[in-house]
Amino acid sequence: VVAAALTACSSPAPTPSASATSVPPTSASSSAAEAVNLSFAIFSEDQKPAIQKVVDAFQVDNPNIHVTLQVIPWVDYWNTLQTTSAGGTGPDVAWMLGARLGAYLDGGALLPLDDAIKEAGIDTSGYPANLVALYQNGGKTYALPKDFDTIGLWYNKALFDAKGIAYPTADWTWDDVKTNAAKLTDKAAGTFGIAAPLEAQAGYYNTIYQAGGYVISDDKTKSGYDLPESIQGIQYWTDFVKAGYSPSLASFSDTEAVAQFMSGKIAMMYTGSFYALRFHNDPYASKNFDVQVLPKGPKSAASIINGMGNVAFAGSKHPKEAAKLAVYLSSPKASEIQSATGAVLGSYKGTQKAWVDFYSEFNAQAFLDMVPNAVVYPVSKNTDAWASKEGELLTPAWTGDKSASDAAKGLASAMNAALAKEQG
Amino acid sequence: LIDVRLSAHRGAAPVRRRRTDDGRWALALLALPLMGLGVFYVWPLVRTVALSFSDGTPFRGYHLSGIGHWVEALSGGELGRALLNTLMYAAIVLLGVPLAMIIAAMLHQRGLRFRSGYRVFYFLPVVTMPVAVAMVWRYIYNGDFGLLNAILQPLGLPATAWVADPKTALVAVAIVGIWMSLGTNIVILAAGMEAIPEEVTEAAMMDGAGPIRRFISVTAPLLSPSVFLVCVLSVISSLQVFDVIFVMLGRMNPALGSVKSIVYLFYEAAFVRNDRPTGAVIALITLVVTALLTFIQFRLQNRWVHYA
Repeated sequence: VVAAALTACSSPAPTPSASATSVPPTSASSSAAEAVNLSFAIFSEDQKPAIQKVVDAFQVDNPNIHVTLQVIPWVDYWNTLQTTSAGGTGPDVAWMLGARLGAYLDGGALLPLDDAIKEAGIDTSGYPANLVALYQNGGKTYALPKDFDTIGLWYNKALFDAKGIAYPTADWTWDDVKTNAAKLTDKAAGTFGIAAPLEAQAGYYNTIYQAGGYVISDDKTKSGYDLPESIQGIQYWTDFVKAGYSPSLASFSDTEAVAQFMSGKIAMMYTGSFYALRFHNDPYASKNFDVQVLPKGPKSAASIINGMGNVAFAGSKHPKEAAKLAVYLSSPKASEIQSATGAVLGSYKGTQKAWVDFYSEFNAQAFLDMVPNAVVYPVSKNTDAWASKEGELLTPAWTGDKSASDAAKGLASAMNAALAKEQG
Repeated sequence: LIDVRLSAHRGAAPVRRRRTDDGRWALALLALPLMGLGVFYVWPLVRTVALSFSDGTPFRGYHLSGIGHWVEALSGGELGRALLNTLMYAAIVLLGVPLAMIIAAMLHQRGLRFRSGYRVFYFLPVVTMPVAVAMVWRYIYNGDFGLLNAILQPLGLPATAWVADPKTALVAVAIVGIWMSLGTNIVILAAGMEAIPEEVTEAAMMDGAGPIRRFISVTAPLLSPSVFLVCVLSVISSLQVFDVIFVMLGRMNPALGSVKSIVYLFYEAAFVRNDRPTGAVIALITLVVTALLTFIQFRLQNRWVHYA
């Protein structure tokens, strides 16, 4: 989702031809109800048009509530949100990520939305269940997912054609990736079979679960990085680098993996539905790229699923209205409006067809097909305390200075220390 | 501090006190700036010190808890390494001072044409956004298609990922630091050269000193107060290096460990891991190290700085 937010900035969201709803001036109906002003903070300028449409629709249904949509750039978003909401000057409603939720729950900063969900008559079984659970705590729901992303195997058809290799199928396994990455690597032409950057959400998180390991235990107290299965999931990637089937970590830090992929240097890349719009807007990628479900690992065909939620703050002067807005922003209706813009994949079952249709050149359905097997993005109360160490501690495995096993074990002990602090 | 030492000293004639209420007037007039100083410098400093001895979360608030965060920060190897990286960076950037002296001397030559043109040229990096500078240098240093490799490879040198290789990254970043600070240094040094009396240089010429000899024996010693100022400023700003590293290296860089500065460490603790108390500890350590190094430089100046 971080990547989604960042990529999103590079290209404006296409405006669909659907009629934009405008806010009618409040008339007779609202005269009884008191006028309420709510502020709503998001971090993606790119999603703003779609979100504004959702907000407009909300205001049509609730003429007495006026919503101000505020975009805070990603780099400032979390600090601004934290300081302003702790200081009592924050927005009433805001975007939230599962990885950041813990800090806000810990301080009792958020409103439970259960009553508002009941009132809106939303059947929550229409959302991916693990995403709903991501925003629940102690039996209460603090957000509903507004969208989601899964990871797929993107590939460059031109490079497959050049070597006369058949495109990936839904039945591919790790072994298929390995053999074909070797065949697709062409030192003379300067092309690589696969991109193996040091990447969590679109990379080793997926393969760790596919191998039967885990990143964090279900009770959030223990790291799974030292499990043999998890190490296998990490080694899957470091082997590609070692064999020369992928550019090195140094190369990826000079030129990001997706840029190398889009320049036609790399044949396959694991990455998310969040890059679909960028690929769609790029003439080369749009013509040559396609996507398939992730190849199966030794144990499963897991894909990491993540999604953003809308939360309402306990400090709001109008808690009832704020909760109502937060729920509406993640409602099936909101999901449908967002999907149609192509910017993000709406979270509610049955509202995603518009998104799939938007990307007619890609097998975008693959991202939906992976939902039943998806594993939710691993988080804890203070996710960044350990997630921020992953890059540094796994680096030696990518550069070959340490074995995947040693690096992963080092990370496990650092992560366990961070988790112990959370408990204390 | 620096200004006081360098300029305010001379020529201030003693002012006779005429009335006894002068002190009160001065205090009243100073009240506003002092309040600003108190609110924006002293109070945050006090709060930072308190925070460094505290525990808590932004929503629950912080409470004093003891020296735990200090012990943890000082006992971990991370801080020592970051401090070493930062000092190495500062040392390399200091090498830019002689370079700035030479360029300033060349710009100071009599009868130089397009002098202001050159000055603008050398000053440009200073007024350019650091992030933009870092982006351009990132491209120059790129290991796969960078400009530097394109120049070096025909000479038979192997392609290097300059900012992604732990062996070269720190030097590569420090070179950008030199390049960015060159303009300010030249301006300060050029002003210092203007202040060197013409007669001294002429006397040296009469004695048969050539341009290089004049630079070494006349200009350099008489310029030493300006050089001192430039060195002090350069070290202070080097100790705060962050933006160039942040933009040029990126998060997943294999060389990050050997370039990471103390302020980068502060950023990671306070803003990435959300550990404000540890952030406060690192910020205070940065302050102490900066004060210490500046103090040492002031103590050492007697040995080489000549105030005319």
